[in-house]
Formats: sequence, structure tokens, C-alpha cells
Amino acid sequence: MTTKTHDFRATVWQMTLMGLRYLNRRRLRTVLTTLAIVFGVALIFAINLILPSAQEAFKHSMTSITGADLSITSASSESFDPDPVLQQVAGVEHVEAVAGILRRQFSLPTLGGNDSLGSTTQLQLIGVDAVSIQDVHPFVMSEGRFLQPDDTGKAVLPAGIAELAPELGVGTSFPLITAGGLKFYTVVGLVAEQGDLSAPQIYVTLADAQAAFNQPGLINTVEVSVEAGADQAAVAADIQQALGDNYRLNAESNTSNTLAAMQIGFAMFDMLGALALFLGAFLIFNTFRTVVVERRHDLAMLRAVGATRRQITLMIVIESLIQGVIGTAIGLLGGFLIALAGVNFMGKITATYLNRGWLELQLNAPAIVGAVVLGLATALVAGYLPARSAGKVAPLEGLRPASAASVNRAARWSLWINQLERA
Amino acid sequence: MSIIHTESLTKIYGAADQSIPAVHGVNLAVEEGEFLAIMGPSGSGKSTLLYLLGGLDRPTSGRVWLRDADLSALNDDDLSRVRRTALGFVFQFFNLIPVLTAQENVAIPLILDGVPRPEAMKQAKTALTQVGLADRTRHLPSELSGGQQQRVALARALVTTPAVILADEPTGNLDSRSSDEVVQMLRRAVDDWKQTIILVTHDPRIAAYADRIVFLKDGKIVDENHLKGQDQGKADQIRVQLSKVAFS
Repeated sequence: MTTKTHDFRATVWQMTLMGLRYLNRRRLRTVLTTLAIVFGVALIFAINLILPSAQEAFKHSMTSITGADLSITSASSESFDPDPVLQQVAGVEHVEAVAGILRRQFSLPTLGGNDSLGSTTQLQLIGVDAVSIQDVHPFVMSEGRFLQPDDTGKAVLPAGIAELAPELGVGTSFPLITAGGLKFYTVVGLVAEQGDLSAPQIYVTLADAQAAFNQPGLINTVEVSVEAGADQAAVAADIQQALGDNYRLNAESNTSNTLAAMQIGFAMFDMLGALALFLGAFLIFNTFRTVVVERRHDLAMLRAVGATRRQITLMIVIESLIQGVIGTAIGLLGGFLIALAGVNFMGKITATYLNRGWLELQLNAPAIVGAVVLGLATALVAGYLPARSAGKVAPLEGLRPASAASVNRAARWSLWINQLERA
Repeated sequence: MSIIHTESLTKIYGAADQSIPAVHGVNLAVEEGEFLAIMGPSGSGKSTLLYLLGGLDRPTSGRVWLRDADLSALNDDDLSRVRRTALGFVFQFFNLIPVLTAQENVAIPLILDGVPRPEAMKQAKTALTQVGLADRTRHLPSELSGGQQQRVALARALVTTPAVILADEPTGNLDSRSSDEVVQMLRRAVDDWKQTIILVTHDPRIAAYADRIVFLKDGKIVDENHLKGQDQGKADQIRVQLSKVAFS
């Protein structure tokens, strides 16, 4: 006798079992359909694992290269007397360190040959106070030493200059046409930074820069380091108030610009992941449309022996979800491995250019949840429409020969995708 | 007391001037525990009548009563429930789920009705034993002969102990030995378990196992033959009667 206790789990379990067996009967098609979910989930998961690690490493590296939290110039962009400005800024609460610099862009005649800057046509000559600048910019040297207060005719170059002028190294010298005529600078050190190689940053002492630009005793930029944990915007407002309208404050924008560019780059990879998932959804949709036609007889038979429309819909949705679950699980694993390889590769880049030889992979809940939700939702949404169509199969359709028209219609719709799957 | 009966049951296919009446104003009553055979020439509406009786198709007009329930008035969900609990089906082409074992195929109506799987599987095994397939429970349909598949389908129809079993040409795709086995089992279900069976067939030899035969022509009942108490082996007599109906 039929017992009256309704066990919904028994029905779901049976549907799952049938789904697994039907999928197993068409293994190649199942694998190809599931692969699209795998790729999509893996790509999105990997990107969202790598991105925070890369951002963290980049931010950390940026503080050790340029360091300054705020940068001050005159509103007219002219040079100014450093002492009153430096004193006023240093007196503002939560300002940790200040340094005056004189910085100018240089266009170079092509000199060529030895003792030149190679293919460089533009550079930034930056005059710094060798002591105070270290409080704002903790320079990391890859070779040689940094400038000392009594240095004259000495220069520090970015390590990346080797790409433009391989012959330049510690102990060599190069010429610059300055306001005082042709002057040679001897390289005493290389800083471990890539910098902007379209206009390499060449550090000299402030006195040398003032002489080169014929601006004795003047600077044109004050760089400021803010105490850790302090509200940078509030400190900037206090400095602006102290200096008045003759000076302009810029938050050091290089870091945020670069981070934004990095985020855009990663977002593009995310888009690729989304595209793969869309393809997955399309494949699942087409596959299950074909499945409904292929299995019309079985579905109708189930309807004949008492399955409701909802149960038939549930069966196809479960089958689609099985692919979603398997695809998502493999995708998460694949994404993790891709992320591991990615941070390994990026670690080499940061070791070369950012003086940081490692990246820490951060497993974070949003990345996991996001990938899981996307993978499952893709399968669910793509499987639902064919499943609804399956639920509408009438019991009699399994007891009569399939109508040629309906088969042809379905065949036309799914023909090209099946060809693709078989390819 | 009739377990199932119809009132002016009509099914018309097509619309307006191209309409074809497959079943036309049929009044039929089937008693509880009766074995009824429906016969008639091709296109007489036998299968359509069976589908209407089984709630597999909806009538254009008229009613089908299963005990107190008007099948023609039920919504789709209720009709599905009636099909899985109160009706059993055996079709010509077996209609088993190819990915399920014999036992799972038999358990399907129970599981769809929410019976816990272990209990459903137990009842399925009992039903398979009744049809002589206790040793084939784990076989897939593709691993069974046609006769064995039809016996699995019969076990599936029996497992819910339905009010009525409807069989549409159940021997139409079987050799004579398998046909005999299947129809003898149907007969036994009526005799031993008081099951009600409505069978559509064109084979007088199979119809001879029934208690009563109704003859259909052009969607209407045109003749009837009560076999109870008679020699049920007189297939020739039925064949003659069928010929008369066909050429009348």
C-alpha cells in the first residue's frame, strides 16, 4: 500500500539520481557544457583572489618608492623660498616629515655614444635634501648609495635606466646641458624602482639642482609625509588653511592612478570570466533545449505515471544545477591554482620592479561566495527555461510518434551548437 | 458498483470543418474487479477512449467518473495525483525510463507520490516478485527482453494498488509466448487481487481472457460480449464478431 507520508527529499533524491545518470549517458556533451562554467568561475575566482594581493603589494611598494602622502606647489607653479613654507607645514598636526625639492623636466639633445643617457630624450632632474628626503621617501637602493649632503656633481638613477642606457652604471658619468653650461654627473647609486622610463627621475642634491636651473635657494615642491593612521584629507585641509591660497595641495596621485589602472585591467579579466559564464549559460540553455526534445518520450511517460509539471521542471533544473555545482567546484579549484600561478608570476615582477619579492594570496569570502553564486546562478537561470518547457510536455506526447514539426524546430535551433560541441 | 464510468464521452480532434470525432457520445461503466477488453478496427477510437478513461487526455465534452471523482473537472496537478495513485498504465512500447533499473522504474510512481525511497524500493521489489522478475531488479531496461520489460511495466502499474489498470495493446510488441505470459498475469491480477483492468487490443486471442468485450467503431460502442462463464479460449468466435463489426 502507498504510505501517506510525503517525503519531498525522496523525490529530489530520485530526480538527482536520474539527472546524474542521464548526464553520464552523454558524457562528452556534459563535459563540454560543464567546462564553460568551469572556465568562467575559475577566471572570476582567480582574478578576485589575485586583485587584493596585487593591490596590497603595490600599495606597499609605492610607499617605499615615492612615499609622499601630499605634495605642495605654488598656485602659480613658480619656485619659492622654502623656509617659511616648510616651517608652516611641519607645524601642522599629524605631519610626520617634510622635504623641499626642486624638480624640472629636461628635454635632451640626442647625444648618443658613451657617457650619455642612451635613447633617453626626456628626464626629470630632481634636487633633494639628502637628509630630509629620506624621512619622506625611504629610498631602497639596488646598487651603490644614496646622495649625501656634501655631494656635488653626483646623481642617483632608477635601476630601470639600464633598459635605456645599458652602459650607465655606478661609477660612470653622463652630461647634461644646464643653465651653467655642460655639466657631468657621476652615478653613485641606483634606486630599486622602475619609475617612468619615458622621463627617468634623476636625483641630485638640492644645491646641484638649484645651480642647474639657476634658481639658487629656491624649491618648487614640498613633499609631506602624514603620520600613520591620521586622516589624510583632514591634514591636507589644515595645511591648505595654514598656507593660504598661494599654494596648491595635491594628494600624491600616482599611486591611486596606478591602482585604478590596475583595477581596470583586472576588471577586464573579470569581464572575460563573465563572458565565459555567459557562454556557459548559452551552452546549458541549448543543451537542455535539446535534452527536452530528446527526452520528450521519457518526460511524457513520467507525466503519464503521475509526475506533476512542477516535478518535471524540478528534474531538469536539478540536472542543470548538477552541472553548475560540478562546474563551480572544479572552477574554484582551477581558479585557486590559476591565482597561485598568478601571484607567483607577479611576485617575480614585483621583485624586479617594486623591490618586493613575494605576494600573499588572500583567500577571501567575497571572492568565494561571488564565484559560487555566479556559477550556480548561471546554471540555474540557463536551465530554468528549458525546464519549464519540459514541464509542459503532455503525457500523450510519449505515447504517440513525435511530430516531425516539433523535432525539426528544435533541431534547427540547436543544430549549430551541437556541431560546435561535437567539433 | 461501477468503479469507472463515462457520460456521453466525446473527443473531437481538429477544428470546425476539419474536425474528426475520435470518440463520440460513449457511455461505458466498468465494474470493480472486472476485466474489460476494448476492441475495434484501426481508427475506431479504442486508444483515445482509454486515454480519456486514464486522464491522459481531456474530453471535448462529456465526463469520466473514477468512483466519485470527475476526472474531466480536475486541474492538472490533481489529475497527476490521480494517475499516480489510483490508475496504473501499461503501454505497447513498455515506456520504461532507460537510466533506471527495473526496481527503480517500478518505484517511480511511489517516489513521485512522496513515499520514502527505501519503502518505495521495498514495495517495488515485491511487485517485481509478483510478476516473476525477482532476479532482475538491478537490470536496466536495455538488459531485459521485451516480455520482461512489459512485466516490469506491469509491476509498475500494480505497485500502487490502483483502482484501475489501463493497458493499451500491452502485447502488441511481443511474441506469442511473452504475450501469453503478460495477459495471464493480467488475468491473475483480476482473479487473485481483485484488480480492475481495461485492456485495448486488436488480438481476439488476448481479448478472450477478458470478462467482457466492447466493440468500438467510428468512436461509438456498437457491440458487447460477456465472456464470463464461457469458454474463454474461443478466440475464433471473437474474431468473427470483430469482423462483423468492422464490415457492418
